[in-house]
Amino acid sequence: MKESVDNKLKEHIIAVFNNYDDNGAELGWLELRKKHPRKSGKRILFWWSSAAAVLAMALFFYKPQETLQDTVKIQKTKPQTPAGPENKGSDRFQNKTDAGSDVSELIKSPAIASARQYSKVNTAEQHADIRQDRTLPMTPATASVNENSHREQAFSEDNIQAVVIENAPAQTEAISRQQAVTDTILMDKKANTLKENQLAGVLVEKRKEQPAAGEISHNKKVELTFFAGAFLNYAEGSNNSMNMGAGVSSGIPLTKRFTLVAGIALAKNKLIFKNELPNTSYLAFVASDNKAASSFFAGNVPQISKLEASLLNLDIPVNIKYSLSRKPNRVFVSAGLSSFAYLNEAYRYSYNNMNNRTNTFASSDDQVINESFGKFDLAQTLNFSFGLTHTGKAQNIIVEPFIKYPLGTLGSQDIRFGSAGLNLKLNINQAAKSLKPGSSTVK
Amino acid sequence: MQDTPCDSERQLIQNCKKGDISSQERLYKHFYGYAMGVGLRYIYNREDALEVVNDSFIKVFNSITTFNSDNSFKPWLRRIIVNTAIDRRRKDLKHLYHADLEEAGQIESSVHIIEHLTAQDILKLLDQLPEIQRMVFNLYELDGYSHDEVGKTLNIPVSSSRTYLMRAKERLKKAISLQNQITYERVSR
Repeated sequence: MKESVDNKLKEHIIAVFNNYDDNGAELGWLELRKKHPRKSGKRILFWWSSAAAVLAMALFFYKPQETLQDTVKIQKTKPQTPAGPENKGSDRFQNKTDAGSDVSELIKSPAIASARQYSKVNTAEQHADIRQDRTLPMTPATASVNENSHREQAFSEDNIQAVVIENAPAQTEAISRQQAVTDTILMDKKANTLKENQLAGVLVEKRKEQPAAGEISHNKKVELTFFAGAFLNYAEGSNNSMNMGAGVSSGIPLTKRFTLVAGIALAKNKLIFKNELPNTSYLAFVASDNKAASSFFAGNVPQISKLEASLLNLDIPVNIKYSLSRKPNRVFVSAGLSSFAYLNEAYRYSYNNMNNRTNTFASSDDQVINESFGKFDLAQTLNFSFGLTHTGKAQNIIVEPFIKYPLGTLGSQDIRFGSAGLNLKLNINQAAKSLKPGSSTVK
Repeated sequence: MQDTPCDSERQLIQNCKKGDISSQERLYKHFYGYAMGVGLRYIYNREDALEVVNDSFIKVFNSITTFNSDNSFKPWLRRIIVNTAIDRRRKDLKHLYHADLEEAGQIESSVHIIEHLTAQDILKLLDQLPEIQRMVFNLYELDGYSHDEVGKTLNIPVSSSRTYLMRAKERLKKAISLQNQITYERVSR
């Protein structure tokens, strides 16, 4: 009997406490978080913000460069005519030229050597005018070699071989000396022209080049875009509200159709919750140091009627853009991820206090919770957009509808929300200019 | 008493292992009632019991990666709470309560009264026990410790564990009987 009572008591106690229910779970969790708060994200925020800024700067300043040495391909031609008298001026030219060994090699080639040969010309003209275009016989090939002002002129190394070569007539010593001087000047001009035409040929044939030190590519275009947009935020339990944002982005062409785009934008996100708050927001309200929280423990339960969340944040997107049309960037689609750094977060609570004992409501002043630089959300939204580009003379204008789908919660109160809207972008194409510090052009 | 973990509980624990805070919160709230029941059996004061429960959950979150999801979570949680409660009250156990060494009289306790005891009634009954007897009763009768384990946990001899358990049972039955008598007298008037 005694044992049955003991067993009965034991079993009953076990059964009761196995199903024990306590309504203080919310408060208990709050107390637990107070005692063991979440790790501060400020330090993480600092490092990720720095990394994002460095990445954006690197994308902005990165411009592929070219080297002449990799692009110029010298084709040594077979000598077609006997080489003419040695031109002493070629050494002078070599000393003068800045183009490196390629041009000097070209000068040494038999084709160039034979180009020094002239047809018999009027001596008077030789004395009076040493301009290249008057002394050389004007053949189409020669004309193209002589041209030194049009960079886009097609150049063929065959032109060197096509120069009309005539055996130099017997000359007096004075004429020879004169010719040597003329030779020198002309060779200088020719070498310079050849050098320029090589560049033009490279441009025309669109060869891939690597830049020498100090030179910037002519060909690669880094897209720099300024944009501004309007969008709606959407979240469960929240009214949709209109918001604005603006920023800059830069794009690096990866292939003909794919471009890597990264940027930074300042945006304001506003959410309004009525009667249906995110759980984390309610807990944050009760945990905050305010009179509502203190009255909570006195048996008064705050009834929150409205929450206005206002977040001023930096949006750091990294997207891949795909061009759908043949014309670059005419129509495109884009997808990627966005990270967020919050400059300021303000949460305004409108609530009434309900006294559980008397079952009555009492209105209270709005409670505002502010947070600055409290959190950094890495890759928390998925971005989709497509764009239509209108190409202008100096700039391109892009209309880009977009949507941002949340992959997780955002902000210090962990609210899950997305956005959808329209961006208006101004694309200023940047064609890098060729720069060569300290260059000496031969005139 | 061994429960097999359901899929949702297993998934919740898996997510907690990944450090997901929202899953930790859900786990906490799911087992909060059970945890408080264990805590209140050992600790008189509710606030202290909550503190014990929260400390226990922190230990759970910190070591949940070592927990085998195929096992039931409740026994593991209970063990942590019990150890945490005992650690907290350990210093009080040095002051043993000797006033109850007299033998309790033979009291008639109706079984049907036991069946109607609520959680609050049981806690009131346990509150009447001295600290050490409460601990021994909980550990041996409700949490399945052997007298050897009780002795090691509370750092008392095994024989003392048996004695304290016997005293605790008698006190509880006495209290129940007294309560029954009071209730009968009220009904009679």
